Amino acid sequence: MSPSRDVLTRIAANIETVMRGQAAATRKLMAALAGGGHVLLEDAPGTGKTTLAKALAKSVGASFKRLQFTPDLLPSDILGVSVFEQKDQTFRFHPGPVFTHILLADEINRASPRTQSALLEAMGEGQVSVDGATHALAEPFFVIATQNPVEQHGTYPLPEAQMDRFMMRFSPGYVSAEAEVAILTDQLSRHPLEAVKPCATVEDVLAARAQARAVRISEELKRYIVELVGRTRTADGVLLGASPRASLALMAASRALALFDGAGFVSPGHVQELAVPVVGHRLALDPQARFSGLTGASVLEALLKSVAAPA
Amino acid sequence: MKTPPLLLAAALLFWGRETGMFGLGLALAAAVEASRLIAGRLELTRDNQNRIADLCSAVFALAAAYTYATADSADAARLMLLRAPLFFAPLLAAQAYGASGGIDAGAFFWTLRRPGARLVLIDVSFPYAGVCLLAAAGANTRSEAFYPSLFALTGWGLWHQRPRWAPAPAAAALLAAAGLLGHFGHRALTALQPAVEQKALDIAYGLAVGRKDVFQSRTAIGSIGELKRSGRILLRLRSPEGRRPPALLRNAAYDVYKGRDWLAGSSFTELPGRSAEGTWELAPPAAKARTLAMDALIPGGEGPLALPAGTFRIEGLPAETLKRSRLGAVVVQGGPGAAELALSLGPGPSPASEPSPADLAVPPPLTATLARTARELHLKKDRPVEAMAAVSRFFEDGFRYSLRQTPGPVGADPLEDFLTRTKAGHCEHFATAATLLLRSAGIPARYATGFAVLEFSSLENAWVVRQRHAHAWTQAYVGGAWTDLDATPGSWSDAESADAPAWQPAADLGSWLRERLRRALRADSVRRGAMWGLAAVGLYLLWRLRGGLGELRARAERGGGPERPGADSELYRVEAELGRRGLGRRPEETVPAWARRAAGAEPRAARLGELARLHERHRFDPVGLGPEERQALRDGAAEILAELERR
Repeated sequence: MSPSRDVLTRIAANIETVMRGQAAATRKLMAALAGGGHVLLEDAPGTGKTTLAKALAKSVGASFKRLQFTPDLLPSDILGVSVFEQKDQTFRFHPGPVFTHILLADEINRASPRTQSALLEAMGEGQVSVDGATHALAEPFFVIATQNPVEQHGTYPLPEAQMDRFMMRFSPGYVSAEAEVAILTDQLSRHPLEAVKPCATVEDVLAARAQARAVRISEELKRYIVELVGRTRTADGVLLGASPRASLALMAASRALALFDGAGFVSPGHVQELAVPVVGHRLALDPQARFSGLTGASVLEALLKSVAAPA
Repeated sequence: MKTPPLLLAAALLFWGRETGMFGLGLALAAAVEASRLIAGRLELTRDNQNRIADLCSAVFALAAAYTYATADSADAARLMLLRAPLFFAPLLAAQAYGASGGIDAGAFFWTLRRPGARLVLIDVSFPYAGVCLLAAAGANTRSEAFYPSLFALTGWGLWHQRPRWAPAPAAAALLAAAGLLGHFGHRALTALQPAVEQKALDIAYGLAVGRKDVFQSRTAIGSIGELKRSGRILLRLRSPEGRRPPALLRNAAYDVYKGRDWLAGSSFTELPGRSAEGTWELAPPAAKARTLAMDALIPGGEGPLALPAGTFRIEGLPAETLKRSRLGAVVVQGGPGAAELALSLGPGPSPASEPSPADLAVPPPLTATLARTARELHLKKDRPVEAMAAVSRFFEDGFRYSLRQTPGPVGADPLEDFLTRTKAGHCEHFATAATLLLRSAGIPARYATGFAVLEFSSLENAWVVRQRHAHAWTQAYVGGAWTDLDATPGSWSDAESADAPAWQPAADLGSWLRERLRRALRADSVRRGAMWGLAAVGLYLLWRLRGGLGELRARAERGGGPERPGADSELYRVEAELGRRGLGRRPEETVPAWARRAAGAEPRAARLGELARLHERHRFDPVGLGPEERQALRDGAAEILAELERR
């Protein structure tokens, strides 16, 4: 159909050569990439979070930086630092790893909250302020953060404001036995990641983002999105529901997913598919409800079942 | 709904005819079947369904409480069964008029109502038809048409649900075979039942003093093993003067001892009384009268009344007739299941017929033993009072009360065995032996059954009479009147109260509360209050439901008009048609997801997926469909509908 759709399909196919049996995760990643959001991958170690991010980075011929978050990581290690130059008696800004197209923030919840929040401005506004000077980031700027489930040792849970900056949070999850066998087969001689060749350019990604903003959405579906998000504010066990930013993100992601599917318009299925990854992580739950097993995802799943879908 | 068209209507009409609620059955049948003609469906969410299910349960529980309080417990269960289709009709309606084509399992199980629980749709149409048939069976009309109708209805449903791969002739043959087997089986069961019933009656009569029959009292004399009786409270006595009520309440008297049975003739005289007010005159009023309040359970509203000696007036018994037998038993017919009676008693005995030769007869096998014992006790015909005292003393000193009977020598008469060997027995032994002893001395005597008043309940502030207080004693004709003689040793009351189970206090409390409720409901004002209360609860539940429905109506209204483009899509007709076949779209399901599911279950709708894609574009793409695609949507829907029509 449109060239942008082809670009996305190509990237997805490229990723699939590395990430066996993760078509659903790849779909979401494409939706986030074309929807202009950032992604938080949350899963147990060894499920392919980093590989997914690296496969995407290699597929797009864009600059790529990887940051391993540790408890002693400082904000300046991410953003950059101004250094005094003896020669011309001035401060010169040395940009940090955040000045890139694709940033892989590995194990983001191992860094201290102070360092985590250094990413806030970068992710939210596409710029970095250091020593009073504002530096614009590259376009596109796409963060893929990974984190282990917060219950594990030595982690700092991401604050709500930081969570809200991620368009989606999802878990690649374990793959089927056949897919796992395929993974073993792939890696007999070398890692397939080494064979991944770029198949799209930065311009292609920017074009896809522009194309996604042209996907049509009906009034009815906007209301459906608003109702789903609005209901999280009154749902049982939820302290703080999702903000209008969640509605915006759900709409943008749904449009990007529709583009990926080759449809010129959003249908209810797109909204339903993305409601959990886009909205689920933005809810602050009542501690007691959380203790009894309620999660943001389960609240959303219940809502999807109780709100009638437009048909 | 999975049931074939009109099956539910037929089941409901059958239920209505059998239970005598034909009008209701007709109305329900019309309401249910109308859903097949009406294309529109309500978008009931899970919450709505849960509320409807809760409404059904609440109404059922309230109705059960009310029925249980006002009717006999066996009757109450039957009444609730008869009305079951009524109580669950809202659930069926929710399915028939709901868009999802089923009821979520969470509506039935609270444990499944967690957020995030998987949606499990249950089709209630077949279970509902089953409930109708069960309820119809509960009416027990015993009509010849019952079995054929039952077979026709179940056969219809089964035929419709038969596996598609099964060849029709084989299925028909199997159904017919099952029908015939059922026919002969139920005939055989009907024949078997009286035999089993007779056997069961024999056993039951052995266990409890026959209280129902005033002409025959089968005793447990000669039975082996232990007698067990229930602690159920049958009567409550309150004496306004605070005096102890009479110790014995008589149900019936018998004059002929045959085998092990005491028999009485069956001549009755109707007693004068004003049945509307429930006042009955049993005898001319006595001068020194006292009153006694008695709350009596009268199972089925018929049977002998347990009355103290000297009762001359009964008030508070709205019955059709009250009759007295020749021997003095008072039998009520067409009365209430429970009544609060006010009795007036005189000092003298109750009227009964003059002694006849039957009151002196002694069965031949026992004549020798009885005559010897009578001689030993120096019983004399002309000194009946002394004779009675001697008999009483004889049993008190040498005999033991026991509900446990051991087998005697083969061929020995059990009563003779009691007198000569075991010297232990229960009240029937003592009463029968005393009666026959007095007779063999030439004193007219009868065998009487009824209840002993033994227990004062401080909880109820009344004397209570339980089933296990059933008793038998002797009436001797002394000085021109029948006088009671209780020959059973006094230790029997201890023996019987030792019989009380551990849960007796709890059971008593329940019985007392139930009695209070029954009494309260009898008062008009309270009954009216209860009705208003029920109505208020019902309205509240409806109001809660309305909240949900209002939301849904609002959504439907908002969805209509210019804001809902593509509402003319022909896919909705396919959706409605499949909904009637139990493949409706659930409210939260998107059209493509539903299409996948329905196409998987119904091969004739295989092209639904294609249609769903066109429909979604028609509905959600602001650009919409081109004229050709619009026509394709129309044609595709028509094609699937035609395919579905063809069988």
